[in-house]
Amino acid sequence: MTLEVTDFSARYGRIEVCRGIGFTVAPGEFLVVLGANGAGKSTLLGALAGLVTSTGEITLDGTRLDAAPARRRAGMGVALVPEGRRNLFAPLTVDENLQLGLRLLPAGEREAMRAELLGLFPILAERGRQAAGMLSGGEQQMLALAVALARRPAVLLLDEPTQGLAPIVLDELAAAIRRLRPLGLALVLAEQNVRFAAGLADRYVALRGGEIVQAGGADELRDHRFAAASLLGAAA
Amino acid sequence: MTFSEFILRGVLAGSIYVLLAVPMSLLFSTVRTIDFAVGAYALVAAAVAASVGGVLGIAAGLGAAVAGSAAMALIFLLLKRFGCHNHIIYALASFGVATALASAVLWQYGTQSFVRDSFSQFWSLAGIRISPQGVLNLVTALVAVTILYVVIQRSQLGRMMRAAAVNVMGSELAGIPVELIQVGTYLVGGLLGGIAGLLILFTAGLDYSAPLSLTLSGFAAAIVFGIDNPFRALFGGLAMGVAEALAAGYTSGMVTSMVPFLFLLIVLGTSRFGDATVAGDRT
Amino acid sequence: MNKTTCKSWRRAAAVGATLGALALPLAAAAADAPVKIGTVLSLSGPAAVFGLPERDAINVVAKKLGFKSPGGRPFELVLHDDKSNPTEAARAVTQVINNDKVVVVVGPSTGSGILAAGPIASRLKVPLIAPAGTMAVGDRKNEFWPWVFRMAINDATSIEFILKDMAKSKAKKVGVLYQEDAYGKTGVDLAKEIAPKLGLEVVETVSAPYSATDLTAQATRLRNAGVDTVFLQVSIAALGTSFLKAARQIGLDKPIYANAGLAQRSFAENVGPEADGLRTLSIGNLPFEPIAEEKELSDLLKADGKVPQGWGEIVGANGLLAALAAIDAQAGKEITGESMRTALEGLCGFRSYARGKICYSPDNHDGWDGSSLTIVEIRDKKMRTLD
Repeated sequence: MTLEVTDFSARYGRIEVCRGIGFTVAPGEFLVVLGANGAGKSTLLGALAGLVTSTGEITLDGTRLDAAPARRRAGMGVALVPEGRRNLFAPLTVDENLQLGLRLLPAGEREAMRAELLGLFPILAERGRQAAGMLSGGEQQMLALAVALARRPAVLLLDEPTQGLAPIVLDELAAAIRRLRPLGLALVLAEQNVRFAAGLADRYVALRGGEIVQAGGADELRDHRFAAASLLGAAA
Repeated sequence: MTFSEFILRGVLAGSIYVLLAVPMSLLFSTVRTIDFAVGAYALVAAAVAASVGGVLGIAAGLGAAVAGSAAMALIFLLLKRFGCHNHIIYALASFGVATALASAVLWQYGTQSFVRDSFSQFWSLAGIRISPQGVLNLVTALVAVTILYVVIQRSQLGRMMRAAAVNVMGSELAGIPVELIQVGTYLVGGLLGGIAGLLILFTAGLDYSAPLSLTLSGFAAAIVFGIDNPFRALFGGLAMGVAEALAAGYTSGMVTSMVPFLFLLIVLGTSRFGDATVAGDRT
Repeated sequence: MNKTTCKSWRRAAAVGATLGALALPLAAAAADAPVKIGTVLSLSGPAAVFGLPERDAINVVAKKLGFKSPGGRPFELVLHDDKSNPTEAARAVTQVINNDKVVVVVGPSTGSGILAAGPIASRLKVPLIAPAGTMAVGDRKNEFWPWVFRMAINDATSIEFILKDMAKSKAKKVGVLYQEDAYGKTGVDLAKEIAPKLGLEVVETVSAPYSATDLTAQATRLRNAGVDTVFLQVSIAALGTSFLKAARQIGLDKPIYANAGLAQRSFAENVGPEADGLRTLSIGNLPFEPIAEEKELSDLLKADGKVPQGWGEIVGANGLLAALAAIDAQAGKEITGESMRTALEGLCGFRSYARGKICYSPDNHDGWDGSSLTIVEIRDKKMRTLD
């Protein structure tokens, strides 16, 4: 399904954090949202998932999502893996987290989906009875992805998955995300780590002060000078 | 003989505390707050059941208790709607509900004590006379705790309840109906409080002034071994019953009345009750 | 609660803190102006079981009299709830004296409330007519003793009355269950003190908090002590029912007596067959077998849609009648708190709704002796007066 965002703004109370945002993400396409700290990336993704007050249009293959609360958007095909893997339930086991993720699927499809997820993230099969909070950062990120994917979303919103992870884990995480491409979902990845993003993106938009200041193809991200400028919030 | 008799009587008496403690444990596990109106639900159930009488009275009593908890749940939802997300405020609001319910009972039924007869025959267990009502109380407590344990630990509903307790945002993202679960937990608390009230009605009786002390006893029993698990509430309630019976049997009565406070002191002095102790516990 | 009270409540909130207890009493009723009588009673909280009947009786008697004393002097009632709380009782008494200018107060309902309000009444020179049996209320060592007039039977007289009835049987060994408060503790101490004089011995005492839901352990302890009879020094009906059920369960099959706290219609009617045979002390038997004077009060209550509950109405109504008798003793004079105190000390044998005679004097502020007391036995959900 195609995600289309038009004239979209998000606010915390009276403070407008993002404004005038517009982009489209096709099925199977990976869009990276770049920006420095405070640029509005997390707010944008939170608003798309229904956690933050917003105005403007969000459609999924023409169906309006913007009036629905977060819980209903989850059922309509939007999945968010928030910053810090906060979609996980730390005291619950890995299996229990997965079961909660699978509950929006029809009962008959759950077992197959579970097997598919354990195929995508094999480490989770070994950790089934362990509390999610006891996993390593990388393993938690795999579980957070698996929980979000468990309901077969059409759109996956991934907020700074590299945050807090050791550099050695990043390649493994990038490989795991790449393995999602055949699933045909529209992926929006918010990142500060341009190098990590460059290895995954089809296109990018750069945010500064809550507005899109630049957009382009993945090739531009592989230019190191551009990448540095983007991280400093100077992409223009 | 005397010692074992006090132990047995304590266990039977403690089963009432179990039924008051379990809803507190359940609500804390789900909403991270305390419903201090549990004792008032017990009073309302007993008062209505005593005045209506018969099986219909029991149903009406339980209905009234659940209605009382529905009022608390409504206040909880209104507070949330008005932007109050403070668990202390929810707990304080429940004090208000408890006072209102006790006042309603005083207004409707006066200062009479509510008591009904159940069994006129008694059983002898190794020479100790016990009432079948006491055994019924214990069995009810055990069944209630077992059902809740299975639901919480083994069912999808239980997983959703635990998830909603530790991570509201994550629950919303997972499509879990958080508010519905929270309201449902308040209602289950009303039902269990009501059951406790009916058992007290047939065991010893109570009057309009009972709610606060019942709530305090239930709270002490709920937290003494850790409030997160209804099985611990079971042991907490029974332990408190036994401690009270032994204190009444062997010490000055003043010690008996201090038992709930001693339990609270032990917990507050030694544990981290109320801390967000679990990694990732972001509500 | 009447309008006067609501207004005064708000006024007190505004000015009470500054005037407080230091303000001198300015109350003085001119010869033709209505005299203000304060009633500070427990209308909520655990003592409401007594405070509500006291209030009902005061109201029906005042209405019957058309808010005029038997001598024709108009009066007003100012009602406050002490919430069964001594602090609240002291605050309410301060308020009715300072703000509402009452010249006498009926209440507070509880012994602890009276003890808290006594020093205030003394300082502001307004007498309290105290409907409680607590011994300490009538202790002459209290600085405020001159200002407190008891409208109840003191605990020593009551307990002696009960123990005398016990001693008529062959009982020797007495077990006591008492509630954990000053009322309970004083009662058990008095029982220990009085029993030997009557050939009895208190061999075991157990206590229970208000909140106890199960008293089988306490009953077991009394049974194991081999008592011949049990005395319940409790005023909380739920404790009484709980103990009676426990006693039956554990096989404590001995005569049980209770102090007047359980002599209530609601207790007799709500308790089960385990209460049959329970003997309780009472001031009269208003709900079930009233004598002529009591019947008049009972009829007044019924005509007003009230159901007579017990002795609460008797002490309440007679508290008001004592105040009115003191007012009538000052016909044509300006009435102040001090003049009320003097008049009360001269009252004896005024018209009352009770079987005993009420007499105060400069040396006796207890008023009632044991002649108004009776032992009633609960049977078939009724209180039967024993000869």
